[in-house]
Amino acid sequence: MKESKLWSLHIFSGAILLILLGIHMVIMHFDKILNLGDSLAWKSVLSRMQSTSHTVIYLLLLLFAVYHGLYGVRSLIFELNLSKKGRSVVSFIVVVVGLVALIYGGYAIIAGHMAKLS
Amino acid sequence: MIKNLLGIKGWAFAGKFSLQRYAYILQRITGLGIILYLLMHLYVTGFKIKGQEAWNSIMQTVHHPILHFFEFLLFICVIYHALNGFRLILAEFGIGIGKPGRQVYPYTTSVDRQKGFFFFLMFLVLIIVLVGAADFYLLPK
Repeated sequence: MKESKLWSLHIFSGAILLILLGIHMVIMHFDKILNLGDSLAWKSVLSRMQSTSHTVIYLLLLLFAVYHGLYGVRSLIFELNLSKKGRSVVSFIVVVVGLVALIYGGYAIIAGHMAKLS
Repeated sequence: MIKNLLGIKGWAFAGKFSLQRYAYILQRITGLGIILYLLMHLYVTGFKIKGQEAWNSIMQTVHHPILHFFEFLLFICVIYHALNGFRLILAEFGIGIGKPGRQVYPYTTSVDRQKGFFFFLMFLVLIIVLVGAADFYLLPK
């Protein structure tokens, strides 16, 4: 994919994250002020895990956050005047880390949603 | 692509470029912190699929005061990164940086056009962080 498209995706993912991460931060870090109950208590975790809307939000959050973050790291490393081969190696590592994060995170979100926990 | 001829020093040294450049450097530092946390966060929250016992056990481990403080630092990083990032997205689309025009001496710069907006956003960061601090440390569970 062209660099300009990757950059546009970085901007787009940033804009989406403003909304999704905003929701996540409010639920997790303003729980006492908004009287939502302890967000880290098992009961709350289980209720979010079993909710379809939360599962979708978490999957999208994972996808956009991993892309946005790893593209940012890649851009930063690319500034060190790497050779073409060096850039390919960095890109490869970033893609592998991204895939592992997506597979592991995606598995945890979907398996958590499907599991019959109580 | 613009080359960073100063290497690692170029990441942290803003030289004559002042406020905007430091905001940019901070954007990168906070971004690095957030991506490192995200990878750890995925690992820790993965424990939820093992059930209540595993979840409570990992929560006991991460509820150490030092880790809790680092979590608060990360909260500040996320708020800064998000609001400054919002400004950067607007700048990317040319919003709030003035119309492009022919360069005539004395040259003007669009770099400082968002200065007021930047200070407004930093004020918002401060307010959100203070509310967050109350939630993190002052209010009972």
